[in-house]
Amino acid sequence: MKHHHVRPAIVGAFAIFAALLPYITGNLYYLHVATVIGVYWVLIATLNLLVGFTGQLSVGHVGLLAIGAYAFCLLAGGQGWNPFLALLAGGAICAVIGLVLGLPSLRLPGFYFAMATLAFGLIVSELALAEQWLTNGSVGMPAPSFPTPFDTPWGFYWLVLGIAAFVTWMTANLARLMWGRAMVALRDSTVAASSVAVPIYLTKLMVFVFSGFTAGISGGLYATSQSYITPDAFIVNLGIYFFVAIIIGGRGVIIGPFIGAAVLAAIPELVGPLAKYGTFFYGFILLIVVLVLPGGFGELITNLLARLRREPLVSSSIEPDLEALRVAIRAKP
Amino acid sequence: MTGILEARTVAKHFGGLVAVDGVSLELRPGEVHGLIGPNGSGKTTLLNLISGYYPIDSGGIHLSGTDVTRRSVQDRARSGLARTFQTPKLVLSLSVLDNAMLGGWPDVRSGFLETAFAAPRPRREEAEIRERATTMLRGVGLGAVLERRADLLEHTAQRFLEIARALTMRPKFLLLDEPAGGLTTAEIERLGAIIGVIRDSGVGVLLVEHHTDFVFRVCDRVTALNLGRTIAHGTTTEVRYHSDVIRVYLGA
Repeated sequence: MKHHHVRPAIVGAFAIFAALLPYITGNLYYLHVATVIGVYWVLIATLNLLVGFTGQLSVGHVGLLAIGAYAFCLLAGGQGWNPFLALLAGGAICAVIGLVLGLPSLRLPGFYFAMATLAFGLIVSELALAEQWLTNGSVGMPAPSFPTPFDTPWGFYWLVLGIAAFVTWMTANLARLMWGRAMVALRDSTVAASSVAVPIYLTKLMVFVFSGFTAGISGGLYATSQSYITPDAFIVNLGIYFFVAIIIGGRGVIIGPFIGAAVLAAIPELVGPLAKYGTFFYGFILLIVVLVLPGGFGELITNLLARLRREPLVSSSIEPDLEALRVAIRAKP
Repeated sequence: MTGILEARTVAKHFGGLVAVDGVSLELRPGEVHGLIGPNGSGKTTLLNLISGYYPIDSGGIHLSGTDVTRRSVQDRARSGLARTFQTPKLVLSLSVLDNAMLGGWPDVRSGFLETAFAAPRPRREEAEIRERATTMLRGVGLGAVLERRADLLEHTAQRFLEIARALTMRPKFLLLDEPAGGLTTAEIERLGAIIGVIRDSGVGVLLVEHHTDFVFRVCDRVTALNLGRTIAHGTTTEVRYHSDVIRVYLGA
């Protein structure tokens, strides 16, 4: 919600680097990792609006990811739909499911809401395994790829990057305009939010449905990035990892989800031979962040940027300008 | 009656405790109405009933001729009722300007998706509300700290920020819950001047306050409560020398 020049420069440099990545590295494996970061980013960007900005602790978004992935594979694969249409349909299905799940559960206080979403994640995971007529059970199903020019690894990477950038742009708009203030207000003080007429429940519901939609989109992209999906890909741990990614990235910071997604996707790869300890390293980073950087890496970056243009914290006496106040109160809309 | 805020024989009990017992008052545009009484006399409870934070047991609240007794806090805020709190309720992680801008929420017409796409309407509303909030902040004397996080403000500044947020709502009626609490004499002086400007601009101000000398100085009319009941009601002079008020305050 602040304007200065450092941020556009960083965003621009990052965008150029991300767009040119396929030329910078010829390694298809790195490109795959970057694609998975992008896929997670789509989901975590809006999950951050829900968890970070609005303060609703969902750990069950893996359920929405799974539904989006299966919907995409069934519609684009089995039914032969255009993959882009199937992707949007998966998002729409998840938005509706988000609405149905949110209607009762967003009335619950924080901890119980988290439990409701956890239960949802568990149920979806079990259904994916049990409902063989629909999901093929543990055998799984192949994921279709997107039409040319998005059928190559780099083409698909650019598609994912474009969607992630677009979704992040939307979250940044929401965060910096009045809706963003309303979200933070209801997170920090429902009393204050109500006093200025912020509709608490409706705002939570909007954010939840929006995050459901993009989780569905993320699911379709996830399926294609893996080329084959099985129920093991959607165990409830992943939902908790998404949540942890927000803590690591920095809740309520727009760049946070990217950092969280990058850590989440890159850790298993970076530790290479120690891959079976991937979760250990993830947990370890979480521990360090919670103990040393409670605001996550995103907040660390924000604070460093803020230090560049720090205003001295002087105590100034309050001198009302009564004439200006008189004019302002009397101004007609 | 239109144009006034009315509480009609309002009652509220918490379990066996009767907090407010049949209190009536009316707040007119362009007046400062004081609400005084010892601790536990029901002042803040009455404020919470008027603004809708507590459901009411019996009686009614009428806002500009509309019965709002069963309406939500949000509905009442949209109908022109703003308030501050005994302990300031601010969004501490946001800047001073962001906090004041929240007062512009009742005027936001842009939907969620419109905002996500940064369509012209949300950007226009943003600019308009930013402008209005900035003017209000300058007006109450916080123009120098617009970008400071609210949790870094001193207590007095937090109180004045709450007033600026309430004024950004462009309310018809403003309820102030002990705004002078914790302020120095000089700051109370400035607060009094601000309240005077608000009144002169046609807003009805209901002032709940412990500092009775402050109340008698800035108010046009005063209602005195004791144990949830009205013990005196009238002009400042009438209430000030009312025998029951003197008895309750001086214990004579």
